[in-house]
Amino acid sequence: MRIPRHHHRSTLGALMAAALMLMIVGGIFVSSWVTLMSTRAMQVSFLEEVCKRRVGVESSRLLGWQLITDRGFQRNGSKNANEILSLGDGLGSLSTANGWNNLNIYTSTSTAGGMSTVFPYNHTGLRPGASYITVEQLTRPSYDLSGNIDNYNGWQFLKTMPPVLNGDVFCVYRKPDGVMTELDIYRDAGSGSSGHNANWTVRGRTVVRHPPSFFVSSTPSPLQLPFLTQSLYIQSYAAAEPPNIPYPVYGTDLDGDALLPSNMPVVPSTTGPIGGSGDRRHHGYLDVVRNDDNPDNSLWHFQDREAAAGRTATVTIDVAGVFNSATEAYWIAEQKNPTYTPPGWPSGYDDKLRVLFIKLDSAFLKNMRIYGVVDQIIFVGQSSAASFTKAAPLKPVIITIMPNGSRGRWVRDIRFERENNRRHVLAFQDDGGRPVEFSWVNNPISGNEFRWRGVLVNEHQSLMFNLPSPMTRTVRWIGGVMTNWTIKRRAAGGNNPSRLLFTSDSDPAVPAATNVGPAFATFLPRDAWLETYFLPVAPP
Amino acid sequence: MKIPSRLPLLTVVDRCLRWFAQPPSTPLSGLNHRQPSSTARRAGYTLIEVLAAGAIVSVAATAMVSLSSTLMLQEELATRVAITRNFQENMTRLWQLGLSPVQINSLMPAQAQNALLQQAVHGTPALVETGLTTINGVVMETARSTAAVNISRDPRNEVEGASFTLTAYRPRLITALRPPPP
Repeated sequence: MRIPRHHHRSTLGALMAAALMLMIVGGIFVSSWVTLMSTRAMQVSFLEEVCKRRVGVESSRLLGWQLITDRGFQRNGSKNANEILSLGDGLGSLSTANGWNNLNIYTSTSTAGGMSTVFPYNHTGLRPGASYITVEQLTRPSYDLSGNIDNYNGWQFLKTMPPVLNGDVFCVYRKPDGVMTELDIYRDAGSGSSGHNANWTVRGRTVVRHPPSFFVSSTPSPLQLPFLTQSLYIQSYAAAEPPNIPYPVYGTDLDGDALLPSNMPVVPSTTGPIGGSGDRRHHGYLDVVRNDDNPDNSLWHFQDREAAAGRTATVTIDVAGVFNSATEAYWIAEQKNPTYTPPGWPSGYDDKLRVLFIKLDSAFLKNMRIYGVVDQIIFVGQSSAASFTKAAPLKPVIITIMPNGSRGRWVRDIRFERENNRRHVLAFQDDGGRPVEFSWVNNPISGNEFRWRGVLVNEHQSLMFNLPSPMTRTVRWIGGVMTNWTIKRRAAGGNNPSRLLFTSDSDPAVPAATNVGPAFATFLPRDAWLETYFLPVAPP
Repeated sequence: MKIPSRLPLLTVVDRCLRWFAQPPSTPLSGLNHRQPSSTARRAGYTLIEVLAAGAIVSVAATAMVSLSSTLMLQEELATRVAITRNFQENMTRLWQLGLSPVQINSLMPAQAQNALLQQAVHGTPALVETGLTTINGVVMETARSTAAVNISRDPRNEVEGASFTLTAYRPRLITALRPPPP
């Protein structure tokens, strides 16, 4: 058969074309594969550099964190502008940018609310929070310096806030140095008038700064705090320590069930310099009643500030003897037959009881420094609903109570008469952990609840709450507690936790009013902490 | 089929196909015994041409196989490098978060129980705390983490490949805040 010439040529040509097409497609495939593999290889070859840079940027951030925690929480601290800190070639570095001069965060009054706000967040991306804010900038040094890694523009937010106004209703700090016994807010010890327990309810957050302060050899481990609390925060790196947790602590929620601490991440905070040394600043100490090393966060110095500003003078009670009359804001009486008999009377007392009366709803009441020259203080509250309401906007006062000299006589008995709605700070400072009895006397304005507004600050004093009788009566402490030593409840009042409530100043059950004079926050000690943010522009 | 002139690309392809369809310049011997010898020669390829083409294809195929093999090996090594460096960086970042080397070892995946890690990493990556460094009065803790890639093709034996060290810093305060165990 003869193959037509044009048909033969077409067959061969099509075959050749198909082969060439296949080769082109194959070539493209092989080229793509080679390119893909090369890219992958290059990517991996850059991986080590990427790891190094990521770790380096984090090292720079942490260097800034340590720099600010070292220098930012000092009083009147300063730092030169454009000071360069380099960790080493290619390992990280930063510059102090504009530096800072006489930085004192405890007197800061700027808030996130003052920033330009774009609902629901301001344009820095930060949610306005309840704190005072001081902002410092740290940047990357100019690029030709060693240690440079990547762009670094960290805004250091130094924040301060009285914890009791920030939801931390019951704050327990580190126990004083050199004390061998435990900070007791958990034991159930004995019964009757001498026994005590820790059954109360915290309507807010309980904050534990230093779990080891609870522990002695007889402390159960893990330790469950028996009082009921809405939430529990433990500022301790030990809580994140696998596989074994030293000093394990957990709480009890409002239903009586076990409550694990919600403490991740842990942000170290401080009440300021301790004993002139910056080294122990973040170790959980409470030194705010009279701290000469940090007068900007010290109640004693707040009293001086208020007096210097001409707002409220300070009265010092350092001499015993009858003084003033019951028509004044405060007076001292000597009673052979006490109105309210203190525990153990008359054993351990002189033949007469020296009693200081303080009328809390008096507009003439001043800040007070009370020494142990009196045996008993009776805080006279309000006796009617009208006077209770009227007391709410009165200017807050600061009342500090200390022993008469080192290990000298101390005020042993405190009586809260009726109810109180005036904001005040009641601060105790002792050097021996000696007991002070708290008792509620007379009658509530109405019903069975004694409502008492005030912030309790306690440094190394054992405070014992005696609940009123009959057993149907309850106590609502409105304002919060900051303590570094034992607070307990006398066992004679039973163990029903709902009989003693700790709530915040903004407790909706007892509406507060805006007080006259400076904001209540300026009368209270603050906690300070650091937050770092990488923001493209300066926060407003 | 007539290719519309407004599609230049298709026109080019059409011309190429027509060119391929031209009779070969060299006749294919034995295709048709009854054709004149000159016509038969023009319709086929010589043995030499076929052999040469075959040789070229063989070389290309061999090169492609070799390249593929190399690339696959490279890919395997790249995977191992990625695994090793990722493991190493995570160790370092955990340390920067405040964990101790013991804690980090507890948290990182165990090599003995992870075939991928066993295959990728040579030996055990080490994170060593190297003490304190002071930078303009600011005291920082420092550590180095070192890891090497396993470059062995034999799963039973490890061969040490490139070693890489990361240097990291963290604040001293992290350790200062951690209470000693009771």
